[in-house]
Amino acid sequence: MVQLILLAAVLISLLIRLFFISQSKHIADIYLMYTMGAVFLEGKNPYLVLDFNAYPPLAIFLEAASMQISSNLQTSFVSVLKFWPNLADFITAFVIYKVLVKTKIKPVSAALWSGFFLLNPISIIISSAHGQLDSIPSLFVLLSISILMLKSKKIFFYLSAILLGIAITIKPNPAMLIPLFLFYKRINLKQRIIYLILIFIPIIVTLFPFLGQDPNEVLVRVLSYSGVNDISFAAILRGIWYQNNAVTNLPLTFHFLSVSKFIFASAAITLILLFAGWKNLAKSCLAIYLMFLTSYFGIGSQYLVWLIPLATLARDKMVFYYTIFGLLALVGFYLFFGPDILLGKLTSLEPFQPKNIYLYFYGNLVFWIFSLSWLINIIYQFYEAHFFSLGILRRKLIYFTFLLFILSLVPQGYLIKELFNSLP
Amino acid sequence: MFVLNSYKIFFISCLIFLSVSVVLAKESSYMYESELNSFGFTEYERVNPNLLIYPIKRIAEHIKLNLLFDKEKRKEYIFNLYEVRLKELVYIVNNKKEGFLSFTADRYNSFVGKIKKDYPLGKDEKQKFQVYIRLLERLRDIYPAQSVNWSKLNETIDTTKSLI
Repeated sequence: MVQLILLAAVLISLLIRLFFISQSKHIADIYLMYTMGAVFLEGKNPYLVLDFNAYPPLAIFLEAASMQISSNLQTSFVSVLKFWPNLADFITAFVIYKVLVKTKIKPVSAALWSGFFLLNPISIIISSAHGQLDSIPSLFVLLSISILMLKSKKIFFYLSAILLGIAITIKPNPAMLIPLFLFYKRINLKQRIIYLILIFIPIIVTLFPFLGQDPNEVLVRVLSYSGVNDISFAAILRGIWYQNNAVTNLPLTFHFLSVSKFIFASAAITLILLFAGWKNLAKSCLAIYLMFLTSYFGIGSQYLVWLIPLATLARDKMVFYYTIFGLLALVGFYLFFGPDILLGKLTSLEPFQPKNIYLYFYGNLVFWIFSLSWLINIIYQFYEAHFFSLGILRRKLIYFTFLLFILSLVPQGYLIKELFNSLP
Repeated sequence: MFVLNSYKIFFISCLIFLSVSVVLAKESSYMYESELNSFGFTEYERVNPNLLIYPIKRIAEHIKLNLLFDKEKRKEYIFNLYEVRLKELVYIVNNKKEGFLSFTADRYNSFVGKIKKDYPLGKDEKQKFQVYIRLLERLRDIYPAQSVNWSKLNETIDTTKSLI
């Protein structure tokens, strides 16, 4: 039975993914990743040469390697590049199954959760249609969590740090999880420092070759990427603004982005203080990602895939609803802004058609509200079970940072008011 | 239980957003009301194609239309809906929401196509449509000749003329 479930999930997922890959076009992020790889292969520094923010070093190596492989195999760059995140998805499903079985979950149930991940439409769209690499760092984060959960030897503890570091060298988002990993186990200060250093080793090693000419500029370019305001709260405001005269660019975007950095930072500190040391590491990481998705203004479509492996590993059934609402938000986004990214050669739909703004707006509205309610639900679960067992100083700190978070919302309220006042 | 409460929050938030979307229709117009009245135009639609709640209006129209089984009443409702499409077009042009012009004009044309196919015009109706055409011509001439918006409105005029 278990083998049948897994085999069916693998085969169906493989067929769907191959279909999407076969329809791919050399556009959007694929084109950008091709440019990053090409610049690197020309011996230039992508962080200095390109007029957009290049991904972290390991992603650039992967893009360059994909170019070489596609050239050697006489196949398209798109197909080779999309191979990696899809491979990561299959390995992730395997890891989820293995970890769940090892944590005494019935094999049939583990296989069903694993199958759910393999067939998850958000995961399929991001890896196979969009071609983004986010599944790869997610796999390394999952491996890191699994090792921390299942292995008690010190060597594995430090290995988890290196795996987390590798994840950050592909996409920077797992960096927001560092404090949760750092405080997961009761260890002394020296061990924590070693753990932190080990996280940064892969980052420093891979970034080092790029630092040569202008280290300051390279670091600024690596660290300054603020994301795109395509999904979640930003999409809701863009939808409302669109009613004015079909204008897709939201005024005050830069200000919204800046303010949302403070909102997320204060909220993340509160959550870290709350969840640090919680045995359910996957769920605490999930909460941080949910906070990011709901509070930050620069959410790209591919970010939606980050928390699916974590929620699947934590066997949180809310992930089913998340998949439905996330899918609505994603499809709305692609249909409105880039039908070609989703449907490739299947169609020649024009972007920016007013009829597609409705799905974009309402999809993101339900997605944002649901994600927020899921986050509140996780916090409430923790609050009921563990909050009063925390030390009094820690509780006071949590209250204080929560107050800061509430205060950080004020400028955003002011910006929203400004936005409506600036209507012509 | 807690999650159910969050869903209540969800519905309340939806209502807030929907009210915001209605509030957004600010106006600054090309034609005065008196001029519009001279074409028999009485008032704008409350919900127009620029609003996010527009699909709800369209769904309501579809439901009502599908529930009308009496041929005469159905025809009457179809002609009412034609006026709704026309008013929407007037609202979009006159309130300088040209970003939605193509979308609104396409909807108008497609509706006129439906009338042409299923409900041939009588003598009185033809006279009424002559006035509508004059209104459309006035709207068209707001824009420079042969411009994109001019051409789009000219299309609506041609489609409407094909009814007569």
